Amino acid sequence: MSGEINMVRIFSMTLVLCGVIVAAAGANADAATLAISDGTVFTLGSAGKLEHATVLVEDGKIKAVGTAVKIPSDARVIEAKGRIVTPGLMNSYTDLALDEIIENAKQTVDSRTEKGSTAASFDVRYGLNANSPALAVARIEGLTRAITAPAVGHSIFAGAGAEIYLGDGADVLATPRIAMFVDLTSAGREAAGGSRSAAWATMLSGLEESRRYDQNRVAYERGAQAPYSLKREELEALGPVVRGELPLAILANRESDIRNIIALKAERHLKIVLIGGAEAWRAAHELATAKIPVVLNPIDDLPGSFDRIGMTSSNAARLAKAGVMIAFYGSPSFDDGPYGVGKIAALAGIAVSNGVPWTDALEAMTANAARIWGIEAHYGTIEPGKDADLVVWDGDPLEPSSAPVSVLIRGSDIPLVSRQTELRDRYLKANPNHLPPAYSK
Amino acid sequence: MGVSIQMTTARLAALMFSAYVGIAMGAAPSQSEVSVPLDPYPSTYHPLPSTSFAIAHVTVLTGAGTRMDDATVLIEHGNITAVGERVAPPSSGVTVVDGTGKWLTPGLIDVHSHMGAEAEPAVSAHDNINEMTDPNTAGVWVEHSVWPQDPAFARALAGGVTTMQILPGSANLFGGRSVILKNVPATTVQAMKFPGAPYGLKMACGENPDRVYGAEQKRAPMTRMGSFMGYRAAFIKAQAYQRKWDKYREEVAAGKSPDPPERDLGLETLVGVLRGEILVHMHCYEADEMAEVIDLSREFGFHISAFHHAPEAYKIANLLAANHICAAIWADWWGFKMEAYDGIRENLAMVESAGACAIVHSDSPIAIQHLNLAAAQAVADGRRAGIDIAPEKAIRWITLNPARALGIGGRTGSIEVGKAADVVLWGGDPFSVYTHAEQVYIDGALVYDRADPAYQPLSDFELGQKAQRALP
Repeated sequence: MSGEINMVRIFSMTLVLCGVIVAAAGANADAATLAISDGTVFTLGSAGKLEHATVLVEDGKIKAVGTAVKIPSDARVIEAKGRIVTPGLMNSYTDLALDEIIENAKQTVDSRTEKGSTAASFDVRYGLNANSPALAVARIEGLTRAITAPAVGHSIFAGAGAEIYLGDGADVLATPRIAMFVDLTSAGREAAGGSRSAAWATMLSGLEESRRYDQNRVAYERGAQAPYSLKREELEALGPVVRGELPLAILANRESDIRNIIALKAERHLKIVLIGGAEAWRAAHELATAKIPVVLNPIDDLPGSFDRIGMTSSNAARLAKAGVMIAFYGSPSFDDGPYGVGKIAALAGIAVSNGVPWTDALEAMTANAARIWGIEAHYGTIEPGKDADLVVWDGDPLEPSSAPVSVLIRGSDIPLVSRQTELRDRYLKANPNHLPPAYSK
Repeated sequence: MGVSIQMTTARLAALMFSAYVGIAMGAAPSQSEVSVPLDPYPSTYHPLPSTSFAIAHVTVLTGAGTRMDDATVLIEHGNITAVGERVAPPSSGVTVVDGTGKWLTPGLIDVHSHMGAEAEPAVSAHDNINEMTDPNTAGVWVEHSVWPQDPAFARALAGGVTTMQILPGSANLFGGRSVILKNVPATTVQAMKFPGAPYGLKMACGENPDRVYGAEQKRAPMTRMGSFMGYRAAFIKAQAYQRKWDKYREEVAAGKSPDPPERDLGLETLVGVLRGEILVHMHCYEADEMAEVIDLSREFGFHISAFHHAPEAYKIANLLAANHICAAIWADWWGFKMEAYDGIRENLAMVESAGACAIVHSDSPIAIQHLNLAAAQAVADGRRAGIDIAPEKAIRWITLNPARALGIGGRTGSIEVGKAADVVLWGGDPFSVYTHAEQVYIDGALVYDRADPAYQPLSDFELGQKAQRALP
């Protein structure tokens, strides 16, 4: 035991020393202790909004937040100068770190499987690429977390998604197997053979088989049971779902599907997250009563399919008013792929312009997302003990003209550079030598 | 001022007439000469009912590059008849709207929309934008694909869009003719057609034609070099076609009775391009390809009105400026394919600062509702990179610049005396996400009012849709 304690001490001292040394060198981005001073801090916790507040960060965690927090002398200080400070934002349904270029480059797409036998047993964690340039593009917009999810391929069960953090290191995985994704939209219908009822039958029989397997493992080992249509790996993957431990994230839009999902939750006692939910407002009170959260795209207001005839720009506002917990996903370009998902705050702004209260919209990208995905122990508010995902904004974060001036992810002060800023700088710079832009001279 | 409207309309009609004569014949037809219909699907648009009115104490972004505070704008008989900071509101006979705290801009214009041709809801029956049966379908006219009941039109109107160019898709090297529509609810396409607007030709570079034909159909073009062979071969045929008609006309003029050449719809369109009467709108992503298309335009002697999408426009902004070519750009959409991988946030600002014509376009029935916010974002991104662009300059990206690229800049796109009163009254600064278009006017007629459901158009499709109704 004592050996272990010593090791921890030595490790902490090393960190502190590193911090001091780096501070002395004037480039202490990795300082173990860091403070954001004089911020207008939206804690989204019980402290609410704090003016002229300090957020103290130590070893990647929030150590303290308040108006009377003493800043240690060795801490590096980011002066917010009254600017708005929020938790790092989260996009609750993306293919970040999983896909790179979604059109005409399927060699770079790992979010879906069109052939093979994996369905529920598909797990995105093995496809994550911490070196994807899309991560930096998104994090300099203030996105520090994302749910990275599989997309429906040959089965309506797309597989397990993960919580990622958008750090600059070799790993981005925060929580594997955050939820099981199943698709009941038109894509799911196609995967199930072209009918809504077939998609439902596939989902229900998968859940039922897994339940039967989960309760009769011994009989399964003996081979003393009627045969299962699913492979063992699939039955195993669905086990935590049928036991009510792992959220079943269901993509669905039509009111009839949403009402059937509410009934499914009551019958099987599942944890359910609704994704999409175009017509969710029509069952808002029932969703609130059933405690089914909705992850939606606030910019979508078109009857874009016959499943979404009731789509309206007031969907988010009506759900929030009815007491449904909402979170956001999508991108302003309304395109799939990982390259627009950082701009989630602009979508939240559109939700506000259509009636969602400002703070609710901020929560939909932070605290709500944390609760929905069960990660509120480490993310979602600016409170002691949470991961230090913090953003200092140059204006109202929900305005499209605003941008972060500082982004901290797990306490790391992220350089605000990306492949895009490097391209910009290359073509902006004066070129007195008349050399092609490819030279850095 | 009523007279000036009529004169303007008459002048436009005359211009249009001569344009069609030019395409078909190039000279006054003689009795024996076979004639090509001049305007076979003419506009039947009429402005909606309007009354004269003035907006006072309003902040105006004119679209022509200027800003006026506490200004008055007078709208009579569908036209803007006075605008200025020291224009006294008319004393009697004209309603005066108090514009205190509000902003007035020209109606927004989108050079790149597929509404109506790729209508909501998305079902197979609504796939009407890509005639993917041949890489050259210059003979199709997208107006024949437009379904006026697309619910997306009304959403765009609520976003302040008064005029849009509907384009065929980008599957083909030559996708076909575009049509320019006024965003008024109508039962027929003709009743939406912008009177006197020239036609455009949609062309496409890059990945899309190569994928559709090479990868999927195993025919040319399979590669970018195949695409250029396709463009060049088509224009060579168009030149020959033009000579054939010239010869025919000369012989008729000389009193002979030659057989008329057989009409070819595709070549008629390309000859229209060579004569400068049909404007080229080219879907093109990469800087290298755009530079080669500029050479193509020189080889055959036509002008490119705008490159569409152009995520790499910033790399060749000076080249675009020198050739008077607009770049129609997204503020926030890239990386979804290899040729869009180098898009950057500062693209619009860098194109503008090089003196080239920058346009924000949508290509999306969602994005078209937020053109103002896309511009706002691009302005802010420019500012952070050291390029300051004032709101009164940036508003041109979604008003006068697209109007000019469409050949309708003389009629709409700015708040100037003599122009059509296509205007949007915003609740505040149009570059804020919290601001809504409160009222939209086309030719001086109220076509959308956020405060009055009776002035919020609902397409036929949306009637009887229980899912849209308010809950009991």
